[in-house]
Amino acid sequence: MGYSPRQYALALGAALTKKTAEERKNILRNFLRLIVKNKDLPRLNFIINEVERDERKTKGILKVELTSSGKISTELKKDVKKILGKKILFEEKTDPGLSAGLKILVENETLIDATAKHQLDKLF
Amino acid sequence: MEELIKHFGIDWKLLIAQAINFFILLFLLKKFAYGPILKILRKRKEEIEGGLKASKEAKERLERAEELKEETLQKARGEALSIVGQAEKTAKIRQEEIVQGGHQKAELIMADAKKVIEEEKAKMGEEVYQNAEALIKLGLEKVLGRMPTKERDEILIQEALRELKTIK
Repeated sequence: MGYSPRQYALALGAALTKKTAEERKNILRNFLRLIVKNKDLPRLNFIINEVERDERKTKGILKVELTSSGKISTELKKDVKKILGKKILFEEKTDPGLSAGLKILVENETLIDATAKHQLDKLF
Repeated sequence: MEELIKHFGIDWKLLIAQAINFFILLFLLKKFAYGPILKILRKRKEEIEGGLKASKEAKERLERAEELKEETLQKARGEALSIVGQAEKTAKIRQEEIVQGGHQKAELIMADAKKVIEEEKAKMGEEVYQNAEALIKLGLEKVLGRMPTKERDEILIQEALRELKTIK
C-alpha cells in the first residue's frame, strides 16, 4: 500500500523539524530515495506542493492564485488581502480566453470562478 | 339284255381295254398333272390365307396400336394438363409468397428508413442546437470583448470578492 502526498509531506515536515542543515540534506536525500523506491516519483510535484503548503501554514501565509483576462490591479489584490486578513502569496495568471471577470484559487483547494467564460458555460 | 348290248354294239373286250386305259390315264394324270397342280393351288391358297390372316392381324395390330397411341396421347394430354395445372398452382402460390415477402421486406425497409430519418433528424436538430449555442456563445464573447475592460470586469470581480468573503 502506497502513501498519499499528504502523508509524505507530513512525514518529511516532521523529519526536518529542528535539524541542522547537514542533517536536512541527508534526510532529503533519503526521502528522494524512498520516493523512487516506492515508484512515487511522478507524484513528486504534489508532495512538494503539500510541503510548501504546510510551510506557508506554519508561517501564516495563504497562497492565492488570481487568473484574469487582463492585467490584475493592485487594488484588487488589496481587496483580496483585506478580505482574507492574512499574509498572502499572490500568483497571477492571464488567460484571454476567460473574456472577463476573475478566477480565485485559494491554496489549490477553493476555487471561485467569476469569469464570463464560466457564466457562459453555465448558460450553455 | 344281250340283245340290247348287241344292238348298241358293245364289245366287252374293247370296253375293258378302254376302261383300263382310262384308269391308267387317270392314274398318270393324277400322279403327274392334277396332283402337283392341286398341291400348288393348295399351297397358294394357304399362302393367300396366311397373307390375309397376317394382313388382318397387322390391321388389328395397327388398330390396337392406334388405339394405344390415342390412349397414350390422351393420358399424356391429361398428365400434361395436370402438370401445367399444378405448375400454375405452384407458380401462383410462389407468386403470392414472393409478393407477400416483398411486402414484408418493403415494410421492413420502410421502417428502417423511417428510423434512420428520425435519427438523422434528431442528430441534425442536436447539431443545429449545438451550432446555435456555439454561435450565441461566440457572439456574447465578442460583445464582451468589445466592452471597456473596467466595465466588463467590475461586476464579475465584485461578485468574486463577495463569494470570497463567504468562504473566509
